[in-house]
Amino acid sequence: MKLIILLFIINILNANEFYYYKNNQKVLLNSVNKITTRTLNYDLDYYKNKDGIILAVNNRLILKLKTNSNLDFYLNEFNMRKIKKISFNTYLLEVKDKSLTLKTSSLLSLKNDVEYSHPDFIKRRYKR
Amino acid sequence: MIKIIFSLFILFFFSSCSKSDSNSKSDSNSKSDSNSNSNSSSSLDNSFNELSSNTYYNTQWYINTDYLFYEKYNINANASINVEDLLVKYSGKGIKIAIIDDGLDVNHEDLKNALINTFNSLDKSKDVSHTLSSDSHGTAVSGIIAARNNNIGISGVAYDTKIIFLKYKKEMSDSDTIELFSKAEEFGADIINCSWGTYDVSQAVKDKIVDLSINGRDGKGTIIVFSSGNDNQDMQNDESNIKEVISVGASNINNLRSSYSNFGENLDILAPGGDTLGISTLDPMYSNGINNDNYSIAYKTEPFIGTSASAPIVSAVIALMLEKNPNLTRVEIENILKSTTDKIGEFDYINKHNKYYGYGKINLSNIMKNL
Repeated sequence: MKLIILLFIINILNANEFYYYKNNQKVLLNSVNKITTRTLNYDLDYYKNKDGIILAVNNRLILKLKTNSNLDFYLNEFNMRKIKKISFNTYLLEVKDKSLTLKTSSLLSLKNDVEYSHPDFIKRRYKR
Repeated sequence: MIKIIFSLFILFFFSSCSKSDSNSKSDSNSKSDSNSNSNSSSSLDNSFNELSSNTYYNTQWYINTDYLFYEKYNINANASINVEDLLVKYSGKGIKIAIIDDGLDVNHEDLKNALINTFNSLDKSKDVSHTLSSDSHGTAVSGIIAARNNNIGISGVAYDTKIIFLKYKKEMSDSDTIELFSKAEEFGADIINCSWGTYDVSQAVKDKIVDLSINGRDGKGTIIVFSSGNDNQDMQNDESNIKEVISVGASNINNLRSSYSNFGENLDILAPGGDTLGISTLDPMYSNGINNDNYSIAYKTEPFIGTSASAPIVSAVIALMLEKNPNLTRVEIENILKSTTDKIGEFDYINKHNKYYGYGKINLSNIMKNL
């Protein structure tokens, strides 16, 4: 019985292990293995947010630093590569593997000299 | 004798029409300023005839209150955007509108000489042709804005504007999205039309949109127009819910909000998007579109309906505003748009706004009087 309760608790904890930060708020995601409306690209990991929007993640993330922050320091700390500068203090970066993207961007978000960081989400455009 | 009397009658009739028209045209900054009143009215008459000569102009109920068409389809007399003679005076000349969409029939007969720059997000090339015949959306949106006034098809609301077409990928990353907005900036867009949304705008994309809205056009602000969506739901985290963009919902032939139109506290304005009757516009040529014709006509099968049609109407109106006064800032444009609307619909407007109708329905004539 104790084992069942323990497994249940572990299951609950694991259910919400995927997240990123948006406006300094933790956004929980659920991993998705099957989407009926589209063919999955196996180079991407798929998640669903609380509104049911599908967000795909590859091994890239976006980082915006506060003024006078040092990009190289974070490139070294998280073993990342700079792809390109997107705009002022904002960079497109690459981590070693897509499984690291959410975790790395979340850790970066908690740094004092980071404005924000999130995966370079791949989203569907809906015509209206 | 009868012939002579008839000829005199015709002469008298046209002379009266001309006088009455010249009385009603009071706008001092019009194309016809340099001419005398009679010449200008004659020129305006000719220009109106030119507009009417576009084959499907009578079906463009959103800009043309064609009596017979209105009566046949029981269209509310105020359902159009109230153009009066303004589409004769203004045509968006000198204004560049970037359209971010799914692809374009770059050889469409009604878009000749409209396109000045292109970029394809998929392969970073200049080829923005639509890939599938079902990708007719970008052509339809472009037509509402910039179909030429050329005796064929329809007339765009701003038929002399230049188009920058930026082709998106259906599944696109935030960095690719940012790149498209950067391209619009690089190509000198005054206005960016986005008849799409993701329902979940990322921080970096939002930052780019806000930055352009504030700092684009040499500090006057690029005007970014988004359609609110067709789900009859709150805009929530959608791009259209960014405060700095102009968020556009849809109205219909009854001069009411279309029931599908998304809503929210940041909804700015409604423009015709149709429901029972669509918005006449372009379809890719021959069998490359959703029908075998080159046009998607309001009353025919598979008409173009939705907030995707409403947004380009507003983008085009803004082009007309900028043609009249190129120095208007994004904030000034937004304020004028909001303060000149028709307060239509069944809901009260609190502080001139309600979340289903925004600040009301766009009214071109009121706008131009306030410029």
